[in-house]
Amino acid sequence: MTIKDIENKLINQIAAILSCSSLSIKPDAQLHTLGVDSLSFVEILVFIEKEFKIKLIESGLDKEDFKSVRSLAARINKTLK
Amino acid sequence: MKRYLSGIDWIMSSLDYAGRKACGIGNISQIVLKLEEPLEENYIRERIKLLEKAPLIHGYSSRGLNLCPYWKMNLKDSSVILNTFSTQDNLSIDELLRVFGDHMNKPFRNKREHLVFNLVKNNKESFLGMIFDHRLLDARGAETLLSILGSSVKFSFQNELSAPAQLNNWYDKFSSGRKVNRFFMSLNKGETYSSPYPKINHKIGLRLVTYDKLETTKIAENSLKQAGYLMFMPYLLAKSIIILHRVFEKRNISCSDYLIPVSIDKRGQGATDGKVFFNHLSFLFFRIKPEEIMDQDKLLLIIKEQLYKQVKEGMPEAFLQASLLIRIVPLYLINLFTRFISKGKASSFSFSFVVDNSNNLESFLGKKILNVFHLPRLPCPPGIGIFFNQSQGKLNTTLSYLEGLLSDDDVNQITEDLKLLI
Repeated sequence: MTIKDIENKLINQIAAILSCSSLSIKPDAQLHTLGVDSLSFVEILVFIEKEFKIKLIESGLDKEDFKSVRSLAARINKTLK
Repeated sequence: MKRYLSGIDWIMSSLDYAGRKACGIGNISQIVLKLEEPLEENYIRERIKLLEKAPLIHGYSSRGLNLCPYWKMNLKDSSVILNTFSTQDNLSIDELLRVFGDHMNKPFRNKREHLVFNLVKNNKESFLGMIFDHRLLDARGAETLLSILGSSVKFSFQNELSAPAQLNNWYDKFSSGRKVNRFFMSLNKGETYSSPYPKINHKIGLRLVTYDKLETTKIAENSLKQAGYLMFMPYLLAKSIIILHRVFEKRNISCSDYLIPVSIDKRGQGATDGKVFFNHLSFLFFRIKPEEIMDQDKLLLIIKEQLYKQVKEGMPEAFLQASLLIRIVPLYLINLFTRFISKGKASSFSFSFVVDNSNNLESFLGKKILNVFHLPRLPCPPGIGIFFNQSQGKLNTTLSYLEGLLSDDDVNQITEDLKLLI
C-alpha cells in the first residue's frame, strides 16, 4: 500500500466522520481546521487501528504526526514498514 | 405523515417528565445572544411570526397504533411569546443571569408551547434569549435555529415534518440493547457520588464564567500541553471533575465513584439540513474513582482510555439503536425504573462542550453577535452541571444547579476554580 492509498483511505473516512464531501478535505490541511474535535479524532484513531492494525496511540505520537492528513498517512506508512 | 420520535428523543422526553415531576419544569435550556447594538423588536417579531407557521413548533408527543411515539403536528394558530425588557447600560453578567435565569423558573403555558423568546436591551447593546424545550431541540439545533431566524433566508422546515418509525432491523436493536446493558452493568459497580436532592427549593441557580479570545487561546495551549492534540473536551472534563470533587469532598459523601454522562452531537460537521429540530445526540459515560482525581495526568489518561474504549466498541451508535427499543415504555415507568435501579443517583453531574464551528453565528438581523451563552436547566438527578461552549474563538462556562444542591460558598469556590483554568 502506498502513502497515497493510505491518504485516500484517511480522507474518505474523515469525510464520513464529519459528514462532509471528501473533495473538501485537502491532504495538507491541519486536522483541527477541518472541524475535527476530540470525539472525531478518537474515531479516526479507532479507524486506523481497525483498518491498518496499528495502535498509533501506543506507538509514541507527537504533534507533527497529526499536522495534516498527509503527515498522518506518512506516519502510518512508516509504522507499517 | 408522521414525525416519529427516535430513541434519544424518547430519552429526552423521559428527562423532561422527570424534571416536571420533581420541579414542575421540564428539560429546558436557554441560549442567549449578546448583540453589539439594540435590536429592533419589530424585526424579531416578524421572524417569529414566520416561525409560528411551522406546525412542529406547536406539536406534542403522542403514540401511534404501532405503539411508536410520534410528534403530533398542530396546525392550530398559536403564538410564540416574545418578552421585552429595558435595562440600564453596561449590564453585568450577574444582572444578565438574574433576568434570563428568572424566566427559566417558569413552566411553559401548555403542552404545545416549546419556545419563549426574551429580548433585553439598553441604549448600547441587546441580548436575545431563546428558551427551548429539549424534546424539540438540542443545543446545536437551537443554535442553528437562531442562525436561521437571524438571517434573511426563507424557511419552512418541510424536511423536519416526517421521520420513519424505524420498526425494522430488530436483530441490530436487540444486539445493541445487549451491548448497552452489559456496559451499564459494568458502570453500575459502585455507589455513585451524587449531591443530596433538595426537598424545598426547585429554582435554578446559574453562574457564568467568560474568557476572552486571548484567555481562550491560553486555555487551549494548556490543554495541548497537558492533554495532547485535539483533546480539549477530555481536558475540560478532567478540570470539571477536579473542581467538583473539591466540593463533594467537603461534604464527606461516602460513595465509591463519579459517573458523568457526556452528550455528544451525532450530526457531523455542517450536516444540519433537515436536522435542526429534535435530538441528534448520543452519550458517553465516564466512571472515575475519587483516588484517580488526585493526579491530573492519571485522570486525563483514564478519561482518554474510556473515551477510546467506548468509541472503539461503538457505544454511542449502540446507544442510539438500543434506545429505539425503550420507546414502547411509558415515561412514568422509565422514570420509576431509572430511580429504582440507580437509587436516585443516576449520575454525579452533567457535562457538555458545544462548539459552534458550523453555524457561523456571527450576526443576528444585521447586528453583530459578540457572544453566545448556553444556560441549561438540568433535569434531576443530578441537578448539577458544568457546560462549556465556544463561540467565535471565545470559551464560556456555565455552572447550572438547582438551588439547595450547592451552597453559596460551593458556588463561589467552583466559579473561582473555573477562572483559574487560564
